[in-house]
Amino acid sequence: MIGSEACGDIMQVFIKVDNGVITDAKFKTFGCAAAIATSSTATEMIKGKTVDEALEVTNKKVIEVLGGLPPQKIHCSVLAEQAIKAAIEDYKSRHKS
Amino acid sequence: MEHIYFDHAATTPVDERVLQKMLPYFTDNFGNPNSQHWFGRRSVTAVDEARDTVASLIGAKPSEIYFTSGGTESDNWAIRGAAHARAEKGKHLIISAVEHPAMITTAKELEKEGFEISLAPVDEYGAVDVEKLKSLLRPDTIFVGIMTANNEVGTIQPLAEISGLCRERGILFFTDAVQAAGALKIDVNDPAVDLLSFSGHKFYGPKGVGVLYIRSGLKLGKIITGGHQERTMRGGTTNVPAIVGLAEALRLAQEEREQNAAYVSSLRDRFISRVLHEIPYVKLNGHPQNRLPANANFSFRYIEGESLLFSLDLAGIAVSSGSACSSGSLEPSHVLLAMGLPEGLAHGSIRFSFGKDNTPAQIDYAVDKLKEIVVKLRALSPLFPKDLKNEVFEKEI
Repeated sequence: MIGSEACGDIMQVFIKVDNGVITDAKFKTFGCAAAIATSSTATEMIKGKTVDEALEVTNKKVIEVLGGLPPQKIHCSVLAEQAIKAAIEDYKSRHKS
Repeated sequence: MEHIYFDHAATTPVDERVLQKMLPYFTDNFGNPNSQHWFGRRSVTAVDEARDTVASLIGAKPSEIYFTSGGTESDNWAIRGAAHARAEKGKHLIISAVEHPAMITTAKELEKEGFEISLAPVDEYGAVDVEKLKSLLRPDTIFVGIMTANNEVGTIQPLAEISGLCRERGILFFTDAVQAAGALKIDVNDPAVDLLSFSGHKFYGPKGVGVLYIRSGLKLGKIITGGHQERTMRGGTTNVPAIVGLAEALRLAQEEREQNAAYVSSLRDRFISRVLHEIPYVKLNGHPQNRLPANANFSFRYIEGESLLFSLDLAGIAVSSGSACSSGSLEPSHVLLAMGLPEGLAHGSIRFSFGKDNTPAQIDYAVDKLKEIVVKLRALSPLFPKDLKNEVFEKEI
């Protein structure tokens, strides 16, 4: 889980991985419209990617797909990127090969 | 889609009768009241009448009524003017912890000039703790500023007791009555205040105009200098149409106050009752009884305010939120935090403020939509406990 209730932004990303490919990705978010949008977009973007390709999804790319974000909402996209990475880290730590 | 406005505490539409009263002063009687000629004289009467009207409605003398550009300017003038006028007597000012940013930010600016500001704490309902305020009073306290009623949670403040304390000690007592002016009876002698502010656009008058009441005999510093208007106390060409509008709006608001209050509070009570009975894990913020007739502020657990605000907006319902995300400053409501609300609940708060133009059907539609939205957002929320039921309840929980 990334973020905190005190800050007003929490994101959780869940991934399903088969043979190194992300076949499904879901999110849960406590946060504003931008937080929901960025986490939703980020999960859409990583579906079908390999785990390593997904690591290349940055907050900038999320913003591009959304068509832009107001300056005070950019941090939401950073949280989304962190949530993706956290999910992948979690996957990798369970599947050391 | 019907657009429903539940944000009257933010601003109100101008009443048609007020608009009609204002219109001649935009085109026919457009003269500057300070001009010496016929055009100027036609405007002077309108402003004089407006001043008389406002004075009589709040128990003041016309010479004690000063027109400004709005609540924020009046608040600035009150606290800055008082601080500078009394600086030799002392430099300690007290305001409540739940004042409007116009007061709090301005007070912070005064700190840079060497004044000392204390924030009077509030209880869980947002009402000033009078005992604690009393303990803050010092020999060098020169000003106490407590709003009449809070804009976010609607709680009405215990002004009578505080007025008494200030009177005993010769301390200037100011109340920001911006949220109260249209909704409650205002009398500058009951309880006695030295300074009082309010703003036209909160009671179906125009934006850009407000009043500062200054008790006669009080010396106050000026902040807008450069003109002789307002008995040389506040420079700037008199905003005749807006002043006419404010006076008419206040007159109508006070004349129709009891029936409006009864109607609006019945809408509010219907809303509060339905939400408390049909949506779980919610909290009503503010005093349950001692609150403005129009205000209902709720925290919705496990979800965040701005996402609620936009979801309601998409359903055609306009409200405002105390969450950080929607404040522009990334800070959650200082009012809710001062009341002891945990940050999560402060972030999940929505303010509904009703008006005389709302209907019971709108209330019911809004509650029905709110129920669906809350369930949807809770389903998305990482904070919602998995073992709790999350569904739209048909009637009572």
